[in-house]
Amino acid sequence: LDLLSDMCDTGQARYILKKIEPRFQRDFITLLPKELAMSILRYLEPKDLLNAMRTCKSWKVLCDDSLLWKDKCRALPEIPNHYYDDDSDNLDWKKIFLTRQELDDNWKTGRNFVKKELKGHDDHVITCLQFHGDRIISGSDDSTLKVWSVSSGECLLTLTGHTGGVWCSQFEGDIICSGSTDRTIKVWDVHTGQSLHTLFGHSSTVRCLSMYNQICVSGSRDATLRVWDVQTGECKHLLIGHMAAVRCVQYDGVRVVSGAYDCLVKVWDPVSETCLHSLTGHNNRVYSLQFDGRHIVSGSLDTTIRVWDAVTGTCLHVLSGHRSLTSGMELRDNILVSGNADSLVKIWDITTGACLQTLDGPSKHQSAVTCLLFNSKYVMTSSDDGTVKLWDIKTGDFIRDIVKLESGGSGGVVWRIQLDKTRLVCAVGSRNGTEETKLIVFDFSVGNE
Amino acid sequence: MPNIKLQSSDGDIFDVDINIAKQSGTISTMLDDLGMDEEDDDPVPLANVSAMILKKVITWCKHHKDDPPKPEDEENMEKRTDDIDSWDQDFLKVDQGTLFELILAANYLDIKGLLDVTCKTVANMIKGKKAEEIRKTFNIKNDFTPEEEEQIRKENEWCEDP
Repeated sequence: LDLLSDMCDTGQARYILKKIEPRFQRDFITLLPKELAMSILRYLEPKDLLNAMRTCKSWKVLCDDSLLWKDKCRALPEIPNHYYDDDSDNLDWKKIFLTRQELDDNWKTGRNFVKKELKGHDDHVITCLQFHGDRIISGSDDSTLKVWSVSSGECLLTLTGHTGGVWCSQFEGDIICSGSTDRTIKVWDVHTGQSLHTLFGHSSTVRCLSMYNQICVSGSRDATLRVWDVQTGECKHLLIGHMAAVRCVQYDGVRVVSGAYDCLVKVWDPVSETCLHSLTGHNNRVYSLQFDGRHIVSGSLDTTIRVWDAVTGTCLHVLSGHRSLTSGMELRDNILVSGNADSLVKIWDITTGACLQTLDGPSKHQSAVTCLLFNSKYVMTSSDDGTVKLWDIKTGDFIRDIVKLESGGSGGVVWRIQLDKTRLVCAVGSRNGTEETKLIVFDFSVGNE
Repeated sequence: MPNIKLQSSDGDIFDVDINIAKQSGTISTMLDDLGMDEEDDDPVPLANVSAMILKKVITWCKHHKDDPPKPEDEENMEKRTDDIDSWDQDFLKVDQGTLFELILAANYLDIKGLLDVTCKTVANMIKGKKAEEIRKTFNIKNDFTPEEEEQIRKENEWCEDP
């Protein structure tokens, strides 16, 4: 054989190689027992599986295996754990994966979406925004609220009755609550637009609301909080103790947490109307709060964010790094995202107090952050610069501008954003007439053409 | 160290340190359950493994005799394939026929580490390749009709690079 191979020139040797090589090749996936073929396929990325299933019929059958895709679905955000229980083996996991992947792609690239513009509130500011199912509720300093249908893009109802600007709202079940500079809270039926109750008691602007199980807690410039039964319209409790305007409130059904311009955060037992803890440490106005039952996070004009133990009232961490007022925050598990008037957004781990990411760089916001939202994969932020930006929560990388108003920089502002899995709602406008006040709705659902 | 004798399907006998042989779940169970104690000099017959492959398996087990045990919780483990150490990479630079036999032997002998690393190696031969390149790599015949091909392409459109 050695002699034979020595006699061959390069061309002949190549010919022999070509003849012999297939004898050593093995179609592992077809020839191995199924369980072993699956052990190999389990190591492939979704993209590789999709290429592999185009090879031949027997590969396709194995690569289509639903359990293989169930594994891949685990890596996706927003497929809740309960999906994996019970009958989950009968679901078409490949289809779930591909649909979810395409939706994700639509968010990330903006390749496929439907955009609707819902105009209203004239040239006034939209101060608050609620979004659930097919309903959007916008509140404005024009003293009204509007109920919109996402699917038809129409304004269904205009809620009139307040005699001053609306600055806060809550939406739960069929009930909308709104707080106004007219010192009242109004309770509305979302279907009829009828005002069910007008809640009197505060002696100044109602600036913040928190609702849980038809109980609404209001915070006012009169330095008090009130607890209301929205069914009867009755004021159940009055919480007195702050020395200045109450700016933010959170209620989890058991305790009330409030932040005020007296630099304090207070934890209340509403039933006994007692202040359980007065959290001292901030040395300027408190503007924003998050409360998950265990932790309280407060954002202040003093540039810091403080993390408190809700039970003991002790300060666990002081998060510093921002240079101005923290206007909005979101807390989920141990991850906190904060938006600041310094135009930056920061991602924190509240258990360690570490700043994980700062959403910065050449594509950063050009002015104050007005609103933010996040899920397990992305952070979405809106700003006075007229943009809504999409960021990667893990790396902190800028992905794209979902919205970029032409009037951005010359007056156009995105005031509020809200989202669900497939849609984003933005409240935009300006204070100088450069941008008409409106809602912009983006639908990234799969199947849009 | 006590040794045991392993007999390949084609009759060759291998003298192996018992602790090395016990990396095989199959051999380990045989020794424990069937009372093949260390005095016993009869060779353990391995009907499904040829001498050529058994020799390679023993080489692999010798090199990995001090590996920490693999975690059981495989369900939630990340499926990485870029973590094959360089000794294994060299060890597995073999023709596909040998690699194929090694997978079968690792499975039959129940040597989890060897099975993992051989499966990963095959996965790496598939990764990043288009269907036609995969066919070439493994000498696979395309048995789809053009209509079927078009159908699959449509289903998986998102993965097409723009």
